[in-house]
Amino acid sequence: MKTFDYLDIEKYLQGELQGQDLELFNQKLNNDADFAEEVSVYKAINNTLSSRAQLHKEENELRNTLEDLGKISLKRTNNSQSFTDKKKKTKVFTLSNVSKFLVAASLVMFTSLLFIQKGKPTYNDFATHQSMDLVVRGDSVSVFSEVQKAFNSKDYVLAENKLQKLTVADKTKVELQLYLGICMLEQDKFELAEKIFTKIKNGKSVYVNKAIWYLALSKLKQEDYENSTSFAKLIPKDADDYDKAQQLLKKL
Amino acid sequence: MEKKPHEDHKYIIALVNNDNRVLGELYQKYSGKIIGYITKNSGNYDDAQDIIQETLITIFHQAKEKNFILTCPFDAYFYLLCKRKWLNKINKKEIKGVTIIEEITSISDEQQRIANETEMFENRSSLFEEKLIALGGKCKELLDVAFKIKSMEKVAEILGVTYGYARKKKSECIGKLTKMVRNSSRYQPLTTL
Repeated sequence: MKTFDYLDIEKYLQGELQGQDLELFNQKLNNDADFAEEVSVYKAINNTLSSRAQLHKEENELRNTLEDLGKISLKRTNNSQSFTDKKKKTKVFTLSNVSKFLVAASLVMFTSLLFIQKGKPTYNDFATHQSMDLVVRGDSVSVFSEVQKAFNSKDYVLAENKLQKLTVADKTKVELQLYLGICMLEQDKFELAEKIFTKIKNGKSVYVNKAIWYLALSKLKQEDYENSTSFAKLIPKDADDYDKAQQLLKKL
Repeated sequence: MEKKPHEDHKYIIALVNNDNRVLGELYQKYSGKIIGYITKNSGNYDDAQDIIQETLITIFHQAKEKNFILTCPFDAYFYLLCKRKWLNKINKKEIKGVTIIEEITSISDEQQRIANETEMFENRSSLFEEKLIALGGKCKELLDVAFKIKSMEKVAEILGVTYGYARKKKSECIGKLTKMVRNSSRYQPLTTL
C-alpha cells in the first residue's frame, strides 16, 4: 500500500489531493484504522490550535467581561450580606434606641426641609463613588494597590496620575478608564471626563450604565439640569444606580 | 438530524458575542449555586470565580470551534461542569480529609451527555496545548505563527523562508505533535473526523 507523509495529509485536508493520489489516500483511510486515526488527530490539532490562536484577542475581551461580572456579583453578595446584618441588628429596639431614632428622624426632616428650600439638587448629594477594588489576587504590592489607596482616600490628583499610566499600558480594562473619568470629574475636568464616559457608554463592557450615570452627574455638577435629566432617564431598572437615578429625577 | 437549540442557547450566543447584559443575567441566575457548592467544599469565593470563568471560556471555544448547540437547560449542565472541574482541582491538590457535600440536583440524560461532550472537548484541547508547549524549539515557533496566520505565504514571509519549506515544516511539526498526543496516557481515540 502506498505510504503518505504529513505533507500529503495537509494537502488532503486542504482539498488539494487529486486524481489517483486522492483515490489511494481514501483507500488507505478506509482500510488502515491507524492511518485514519493519525489523520483525525492531525486535523483536530490543526483545527483546535488554529482556533485558539485566532481567538486569543476575543478570549481576552471575554475574560475581562467575566472578571468584571465576578466582581459585581461579589459586591452584590457583600451588599446583601451587610443589608441582612443591618436588618438583624435593627430588630432589637430599646427605649433609648427609639429616642435616638426620633432625634435622627427629626434631623433628617430638618435637613430635608433645608434641601427643599434650597431647590435643585447638587452633585455632592449624589457623588458617592464605589470604593476602588482593583487589587488583583496575589498582587497586593502592585501599582494597583497604590492607585486604589489614592482613590479611596479621595486624592484624585494622584489617582488620576497613576491611572493615566495604567490606562496607557492596558487599554482593555474599562474599569480603569471609568475611575480615570471619575478622578477628572472630581477635579472639574468636565470635557475630558465626559469624553471617557461617552466612550464607555458606547462600548460593550459591563460599565455602560455606570458611565451613563456619571454623565448625568457631570451635567448635574455643571448645573446643566436638562441634560442631567436626559442621562438619568436612560438608566434601566436592572442597573445598580437605578434607585439613585430615580431620586435624582424626582428632585430635578 | 439538525439539533434544535434550547431557549437557554442565548447564553452560548452571549459568550460568543461577549454580550455583557445577557452574561450579567447568567451570573445573577447561576453563579450563586456554584459559589455555594465550592465554598461548602473547601473552596473560597475566588476559587468559585475561577471555576466559573474557566468553564465559560471552554464553552466559548466549543461554540466557536464546533458550533456547539445547547439542546437542554443551561442550569444543571453548567452546574455539573463547574462541579466536576472543582472536584478535579481539589483531587489534583490532594486536599485530604475533604468530605464532599452534595446538593440534590436533578440532571437529565441529555444534560449529562452534553456536559460529557464539553468536558471531552476541554480535555482534548488542553492536551493539545500542553503538547505544543512540550514540543518547544523551532517547531513551536513555526506553529505559533502558522496557527495565528491563515495564509502560509504570509507565514513564510514572516519567517524568511520559502513557501514550500514553510508548508512542509508545518506539516512535519504537526505530525510530531500528533505522535506526542497519541502516545500520551491521557489520549482518548477520536471517533469522528
